[in-house]
Amino acid sequence: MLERAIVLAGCAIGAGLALIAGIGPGIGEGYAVGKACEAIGRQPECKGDVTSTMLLGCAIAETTGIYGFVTGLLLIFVAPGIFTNML
Amino acid sequence: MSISPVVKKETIRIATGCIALSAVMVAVFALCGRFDWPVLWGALLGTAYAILNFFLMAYTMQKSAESTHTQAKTKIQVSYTLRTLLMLVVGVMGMVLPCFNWISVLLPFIFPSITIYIMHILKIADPIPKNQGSPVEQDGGENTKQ
Repeated sequence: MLERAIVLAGCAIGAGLALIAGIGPGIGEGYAVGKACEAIGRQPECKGDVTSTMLLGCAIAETTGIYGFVTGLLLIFVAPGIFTNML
Repeated sequence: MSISPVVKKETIRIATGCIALSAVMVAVFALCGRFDWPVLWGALLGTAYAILNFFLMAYTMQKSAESTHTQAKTKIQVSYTLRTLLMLVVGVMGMVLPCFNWISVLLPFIFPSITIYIMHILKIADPIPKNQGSPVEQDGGENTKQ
């Protein structure tokens, strides 16, 4: 019983730690878009290129958050069953 | 609500890549002998969410690009939070509901970035024209110290 509780607690703590990865992309995207606004303000004729590059860059930056999110979901829904069956 | 041609073009590219990768994923499931209806529904849900997420991000950025630096940061951060909550709903639905296979729901979340990597490997993404180089190339690096 104690072992099961420890496994569940570890999974919950791990999921919480994994979701910390979701903080970074939000800050990074905001910073990137802010800088893109400055760039468009300096060179309005480059708006299309800047927006296109920014979109792809932000989509890549979001992947980190998605990895953390998926890891958190796996730790909450999948890992407890696997680990408690191993006990 | 006017969607800029850049947003349309990139969304169509990403959607095409996501659908192709989902088809590959379902084919791999079929080859492994694990194909069933939950896999198909899960692939549909995950792919639809991945495309919607990219479109919402692109549309928010289009709107943010017309505002000031601080407003743009705030808009993007709020948008990211809302999209993450939506992802949480979709992810938990995929995990909890028995009509979805959780692997085929979660895998398409990373298909947009895989599509972008593939586009860059295959040189499909538009290269930046050489006459519109960075300010460092144009002014000899004087603006970088500001």
